[in-house]
Amino acid sequence: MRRAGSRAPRRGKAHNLSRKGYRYVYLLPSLVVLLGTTLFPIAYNLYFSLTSKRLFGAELVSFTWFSNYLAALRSPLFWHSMWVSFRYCVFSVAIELVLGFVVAYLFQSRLFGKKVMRTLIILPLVTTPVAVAYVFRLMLNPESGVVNYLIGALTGIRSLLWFASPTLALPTLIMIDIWRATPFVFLVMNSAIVALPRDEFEAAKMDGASRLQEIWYVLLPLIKPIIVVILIFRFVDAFKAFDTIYALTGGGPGRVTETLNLNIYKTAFFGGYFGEACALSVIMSIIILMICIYILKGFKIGMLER
Amino acid sequence: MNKLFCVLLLGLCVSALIGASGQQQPEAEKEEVYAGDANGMSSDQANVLVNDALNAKIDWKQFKGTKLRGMVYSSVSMSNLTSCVRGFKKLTGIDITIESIAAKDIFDKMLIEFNSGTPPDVVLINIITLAQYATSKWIVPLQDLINNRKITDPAWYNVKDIISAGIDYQTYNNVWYGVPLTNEIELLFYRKDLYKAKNLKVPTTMDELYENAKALNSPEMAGFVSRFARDSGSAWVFMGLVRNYGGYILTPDGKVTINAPEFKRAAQMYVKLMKDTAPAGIMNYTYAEEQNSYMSGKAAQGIDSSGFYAVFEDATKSVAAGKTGYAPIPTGVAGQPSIGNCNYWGMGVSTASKNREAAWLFVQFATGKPMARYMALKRGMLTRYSSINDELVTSRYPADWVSALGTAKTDKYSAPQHVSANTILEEVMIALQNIYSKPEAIDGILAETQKKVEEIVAKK
Repeated sequence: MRRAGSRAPRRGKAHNLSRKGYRYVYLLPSLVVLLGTTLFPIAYNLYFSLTSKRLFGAELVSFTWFSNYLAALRSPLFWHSMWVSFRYCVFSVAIELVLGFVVAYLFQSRLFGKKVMRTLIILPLVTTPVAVAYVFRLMLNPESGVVNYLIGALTGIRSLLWFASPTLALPTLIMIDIWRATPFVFLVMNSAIVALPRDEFEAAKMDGASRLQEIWYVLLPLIKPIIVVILIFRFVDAFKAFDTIYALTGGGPGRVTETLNLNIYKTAFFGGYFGEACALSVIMSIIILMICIYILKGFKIGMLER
Repeated sequence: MNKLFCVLLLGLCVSALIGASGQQQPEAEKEEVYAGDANGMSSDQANVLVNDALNAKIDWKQFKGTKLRGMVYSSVSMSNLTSCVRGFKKLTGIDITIESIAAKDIFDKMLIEFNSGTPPDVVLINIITLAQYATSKWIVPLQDLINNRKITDPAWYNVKDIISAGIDYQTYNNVWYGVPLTNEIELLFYRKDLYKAKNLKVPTTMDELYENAKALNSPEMAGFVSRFARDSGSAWVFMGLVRNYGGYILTPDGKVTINAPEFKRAAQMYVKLMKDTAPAGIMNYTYAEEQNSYMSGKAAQGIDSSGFYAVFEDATKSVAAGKTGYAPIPTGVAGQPSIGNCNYWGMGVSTASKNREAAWLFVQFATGKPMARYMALKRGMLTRYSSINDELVTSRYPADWVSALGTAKTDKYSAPQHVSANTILEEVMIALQNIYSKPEAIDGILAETQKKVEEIVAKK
């Protein structure tokens, strides 16, 4: 038995090392899973992007270095699909941010049936994208859809070709994305605004700030980090948009709604050019990463800043 | 109180268990209660197949307990195949699962399945995928399986009874890969009552068809309907039309001829029909939307597969039932015979299958004479000479439908024979949709598509 007041026996350096070693042993299973599920597919994708891998045909796989990348950058189809993705992203994310913020701000005031409305607003968030696509397909059907019927009854304009018209197809897809993703923006913004301290707002009020000045000079700077997070989340999500577009237009009419992600899918699983598709997906990842870094730098938000 | 509650709960559980066990039936009794589902096969019909198959001099039970997987696209015809499964299970003891995939996704899905290394044992093959599957060595040449007396009774299976064109459509580089399960020939379907009301004659040329379509077109009803979505499956109708104008997408010697005058004339006519007389949302029309439009009385006529007969004449779903006339597709060039596109969906065995012989037993069962007769009677799929010569089969269908099928000329090369046939056909559909949007730019669009398809063909 140790005497009272005596110090615990000092453990040696070797013991400390073995304790540290144990930590790594405990971490090992998670690390293996993490490496297996994230790094390995990325490395495999990178490898294939440097080869002539096709999904069919008798030709053997050969190492072609960066020829897939060069071919992609030279292809007008790549630049076309990039342009489609860019427009889809910019318009949908910008409108979602503004709409989400406006609704979240309105929710700060006293509203009748606020809880019911909140539940209704977030409903699109929990619906399956393909199910959403098919519901919109029915609603926007030029011959039997309810939307065209109502527009026809109110304005006399009939047969708006939502998905078949080259001018309307992309805006229609953007509209559906806005319907689906604005609740996410609203939900996060609403939580951020609710959690803000009230002192700054009271101080601004005492200084005679108008409602707009209060929003511009107090509210927006306070929720800037949250806006950036939403912006990044939504941007990445919109840039990768696939399911709804595939189910609704398949990239048509012609190639009007063929986004970069759809182009990658078609290249790989339709054309069978797997190496080229891998190269395209690497390019897409780099673009997304660069834009995310640009957003973080532009808003002067450091990943590890406090 | 608690004790009483526990006793009551226990009693409830015991009685539920007794009740459940009382509902169980012996295996033999279970098979008797199968009723024919809406599109499927009744137990009696399945028994006919089984009893006939028992005449084959092979041991159907030799692979008892084996598990197989098959994949088909969802359609009315294929639902008959999935329901013949229970007859096969009863006959062989082989457990086969047939997965149904949406028609527009079947090509992509199969590509992924083959590349995963564990594709289904039994696969569907058609003229669009044949070159791809055969070149990639994903499907087994059938001759070795047919010559194997342990698993094939030549007298019962009778290969000579299979329509030679069907075998030809499933043959690549002189190697036979699939047995035809369905056959479809392109023909014209039209509403006889509307033709009579407008005093119209059945068209023999595409120009006459266009005039009729214009006469029938109204805000309530489209004068013409067909497929016009951008997926490769929707190119099926247009492929026949190109041949009908004397053109090719890819000539038999592999030359791309999209910028040829024949192709241009076919494209101009098809787009003209779509633009002036088809439903407003035609750019999203696959065969399913086309069928719905015609069956609901929103279109007066169209060109598509002879296999649509079964759905058009279903009085429970179609307002056109009993009012539809059938004719060979009108010719593009007056005085020349019309050439309709043709498709045989065949069944083959995948090379990666560990149970090729068991899979062949299923193919044999599903494409044998009794099943072929059933498909002919129920769906109008004529894949065997015995079905064509069967009076019961021919008497079951309208004379004009049988005549249209009998007189139709087909050409295997209306479809591009290339490993990338799918991509080529999608490029063609994209071109047609672009022409629809900008008819004045047709020459530029066709020249651009010619270049793109040449690049695809050169890639191999």
